[in-house]
Amino acid sequence: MGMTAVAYLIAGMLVWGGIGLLVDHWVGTKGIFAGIGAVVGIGGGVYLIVRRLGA
Amino acid sequence: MTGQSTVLAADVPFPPSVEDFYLPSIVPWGGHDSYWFTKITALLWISVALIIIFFLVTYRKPKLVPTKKQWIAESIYGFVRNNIAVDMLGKRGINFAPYLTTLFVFILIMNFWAIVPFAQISPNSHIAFPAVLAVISYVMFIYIGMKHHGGLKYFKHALIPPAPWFILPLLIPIEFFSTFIVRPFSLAVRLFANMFAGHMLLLVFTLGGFAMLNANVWFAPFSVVSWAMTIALTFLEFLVICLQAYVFTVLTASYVQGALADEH
Amino acid sequence: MITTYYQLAAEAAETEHNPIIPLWEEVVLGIIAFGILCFVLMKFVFPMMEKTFAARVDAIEGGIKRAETAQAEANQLLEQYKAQLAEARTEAARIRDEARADAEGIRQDVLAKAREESDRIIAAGNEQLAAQRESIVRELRSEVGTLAVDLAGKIVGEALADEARSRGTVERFIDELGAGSAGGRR
Repeated sequence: MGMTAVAYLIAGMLVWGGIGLLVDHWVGTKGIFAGIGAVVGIGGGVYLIVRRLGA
Repeated sequence: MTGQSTVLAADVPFPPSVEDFYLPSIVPWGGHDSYWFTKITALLWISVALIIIFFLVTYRKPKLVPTKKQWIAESIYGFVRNNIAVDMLGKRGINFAPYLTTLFVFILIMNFWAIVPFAQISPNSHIAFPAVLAVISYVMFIYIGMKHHGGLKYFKHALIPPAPWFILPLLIPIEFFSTFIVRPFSLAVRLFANMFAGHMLLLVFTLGGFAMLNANVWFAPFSVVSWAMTIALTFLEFLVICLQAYVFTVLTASYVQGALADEH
Repeated sequence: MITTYYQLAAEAAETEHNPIIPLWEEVVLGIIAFGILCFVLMKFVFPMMEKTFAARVDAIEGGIKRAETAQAEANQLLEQYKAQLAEARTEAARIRDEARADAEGIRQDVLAKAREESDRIIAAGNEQLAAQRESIVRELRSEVGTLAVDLAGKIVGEALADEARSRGTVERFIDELGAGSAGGRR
């Protein structure tokens, strides 16, 4: 349970942070999208934890 | 004794490096790029042999009223069977108990070499073995999931969480990443890193003691403290050994549980 | 020898290793070794253990079942005995009641017969008594006539030897006596 929750958080951050990083690379910005992506990813991770493990 | 320790101390490289994990091969003696027969693989074979001999000897003639040895073997199996397999997977867990027990015992014994005198390095501190085990667990839970849900439906079940459609694009990559990419790596790396770090710590304090003694004889008391730390860390290592074997088995069981879970 | 081993180790350090990259030889050996282990343990050891567990459960549950069967059998027997006993008891009671009824009947019969007999005897006695009285009365009557004639003859004496008169007197006396007895007594 705990492991799964941590995995979701980290996975969310890494996936969307990574995608943000790629976007940064293409657009030429320096880390804005990576930051946004990381935050969005953590949000998604929290949502998944609530849906899959809560209730 | 003093002379010998000085000689040893003179040879001691400090600080220890990654290369200390890659000892020269035994056959051929001292080979550098031959990994077929090294201390690590020797320990691997000894582990396998020990486990097989133990179980075959203790369980050659099982009796309804167990002998002490038979009872020990049964307790190991019963522990994994009841406390991990059945606990997490319910009645289906009995089918997985043999594999989970094999996994548990194998990791436990392999880890144990880290604190056995003269061996003092665990084969699991080479990532190859944890990786093999992790890949087996990975393939197993995917296979079981596909068998249980019927082919690709498993991936639909695993990847698409119960959520409104407009969040799905955000969630599916996370699900994919956490289920199909993080799992095997976290399994392998957790076990490997624990054993690697444990060996490294023991090396640091053991070799550090020699290094201090080597630098100045007056540092001898600190060397003693350092070696005392080694002994204390050995006990800690014992804890880590058991815990990691347990964690690896429990996580494998929990992945299978996730694959068998029905829609909620 | 150990020293040379460690010197060799130091030399080996020249070839760089990355601890995150698995050595393929070790991967192969790991698969083979773990495969052998899995094969032996999962084929020969743990199924045996499951069998032993099952046999143990069986032994315990079988014992319980056997005990339960025996218990049930004993209970059944007990029930049977109880039923038989109850049957016998009611039978005995029935017989006793019957006997009691019979005895009562017999007693009633005997009593009735005795009463009848006594009645009959009493009636016979009464009849006899009545008959005897009748004859006694009759005898007495003729005797009283004779006695009275004798007594009167004796009192009057031989003076009244006149047969005709005396016959007429006696006849009259007897008639009077008969009328008196007819009117007064009977």
